[in-house]
Amino acid sequence: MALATAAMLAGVAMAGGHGGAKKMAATGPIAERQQAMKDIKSNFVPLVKMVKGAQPFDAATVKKNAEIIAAKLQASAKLFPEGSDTGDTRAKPEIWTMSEEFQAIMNTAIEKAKALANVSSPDQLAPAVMALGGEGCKACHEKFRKPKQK
Amino acid sequence: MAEKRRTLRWWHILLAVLALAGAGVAFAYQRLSIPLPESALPADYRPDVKNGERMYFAGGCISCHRGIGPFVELPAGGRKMKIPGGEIVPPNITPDDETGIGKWRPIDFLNAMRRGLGPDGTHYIPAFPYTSYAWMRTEDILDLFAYLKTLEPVRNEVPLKTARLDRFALAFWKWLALPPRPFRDLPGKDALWNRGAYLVLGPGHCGECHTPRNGIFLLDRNRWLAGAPLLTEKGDAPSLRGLKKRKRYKDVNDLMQALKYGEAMGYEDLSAGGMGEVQSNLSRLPDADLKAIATYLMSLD
Ligand code: HEC
Ligand code: HEC
Ligand code: HEC
Repeated sequence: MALATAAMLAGVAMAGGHGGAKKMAATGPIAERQQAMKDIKSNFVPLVKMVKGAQPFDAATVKKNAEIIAAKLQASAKLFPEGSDTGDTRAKPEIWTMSEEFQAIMNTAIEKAKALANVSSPDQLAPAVMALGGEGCKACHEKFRKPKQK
Repeated sequence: MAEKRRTLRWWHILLAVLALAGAGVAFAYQRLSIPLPESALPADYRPDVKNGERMYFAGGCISCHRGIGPFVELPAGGRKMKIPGGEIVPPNITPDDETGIGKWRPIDFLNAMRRGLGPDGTHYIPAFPYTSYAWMRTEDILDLFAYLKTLEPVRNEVPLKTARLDRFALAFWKWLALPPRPFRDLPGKDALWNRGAYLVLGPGHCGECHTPRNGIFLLDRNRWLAGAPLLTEKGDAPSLRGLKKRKRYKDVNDLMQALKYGEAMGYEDLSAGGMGEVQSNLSRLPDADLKAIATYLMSLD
């Protein structure tokens, strides 16, 4: 009984500690780049929907969203100061040990986002979206983003 | 005096027991090291290279055996990979006579894939996921061998790790870990479901990452694909159960698209922890196979 209570209390205490750690990480470069990435995603999703036909093609939206993605990627590149791979983050230490490759993929992603912004007809959309998603988002996350941990 | 005799007798018995146990272990080891004979090959077999190529991508051989420099698109080996307690370098499996599998016979390849056993009796370290490949049908394994034989031979010497004690112990571990027989369709399930189950269980070796293991690294069949810590880095492979209930994917078609395109089409959770390579390989499979995999996975509660 006493043991069970102790365990329960420890659990509560641990949960409290965890929440605290999360709150600490809510400012600074980690939280900022995560927010930038979230914005990138929310601008990317409508374009994917257009490719799938779940949303009508609209060149103005493509241009606007792709330009935001390019700008946010550019901004996020500065939000990876050395050593910011601890705490509530999925950034891998390879970002700094293989920084040239990280930067190269970032540049490719920015380039592909800019190319996407210039898409003016529906048949150009799929290859442009997939180039950004594959050679940008995937290429980087595959190498430089940690898998989730339970 | 009496005291001394008793001590002697005690030692004699212990030695006898040890000798017997040693002989038993040696005998068992020998039995466990016997390769499949030539007669395990089907008599009327004709190679289907196209199907072999499909098995190559379903099996993701290139993920681990990828070569270096000019050979990145060939399974010429030589890249380090992390395993529990160290590192291992997957060898060259291009058909080079001296440094690859050029001189292997079909039965040698079958023994490697089905039994984790090398032509010289080496017990392979299960970083080579033969515990899953062993579920593969004999014809599929032989087709894969025929496909590998069509690749450009690369001269690249990658010696196997010397780990004599581990390899000795592995003979016994394999006895527990290897499936009793290749995959058989489950009666009562349709062809598409069975095809998916086969691809996931056998060539796809999805369980090697997505299924938790027990203390001696055996897959926990009661928690099949329920998500597990990775052995190669920190972090988890997520659960593949209840994908539908948890609304991870809308329907079979949605998951099929996810497997086919991955993050190129905004499916975010298919890149990290080795899954990116798996997804790239899956993208090379015909739609029918991806649909089968998606059908099977979406059926898991
Ligand atoms: C050059 C590398 C790079 C590129 C390119 C990149 N990302 Fe990321 N992304 C990361 C890293 C690293 C993280 C993990 C950040 C962290 O946890 O601190 C991440 C995290 C994310 C997250 C999770 C944010 C959170 O914490 O909730 C999303 C969503 C995301 N990226 C979407 C995208 C999309 C969509 C693209 C392509 C349009 C993209 N990323 C391109 C490196 C990249
Ligand atoms: C997860 C990584 C991984 C994957 C995937 C993988 N292998 Fe391997 N493979 C290895 C490692 C590591 C070894 C070395 C094992 C050892 O040292 O005992 C190996 C060894 C082998 C050998 C023995 C070669 C020799 O010289 O004795 C063969 C044959 C082989 N693999 C074929 C394949 C084929 C075919 C596939 C795809 C269907 C495949 N492997 C997929 C990691 C892998
Ligand atoms: C090398 C280990 C490994 C192997 C082998 C592997 N996976 Fe994964 N899988 C992962 C990891 C790690 C993730 C999480 C990736 C991320 O967070 O970006 C994942 C994610 C997934 C997801 C996304 C789950 C979700 O919640 O959205 C699916 C679906 C999936 N894998 C299917 C498969 C299938 C099918 C196979 C076999 C053909 C397979 N995996 C083989 C490691 C693996």
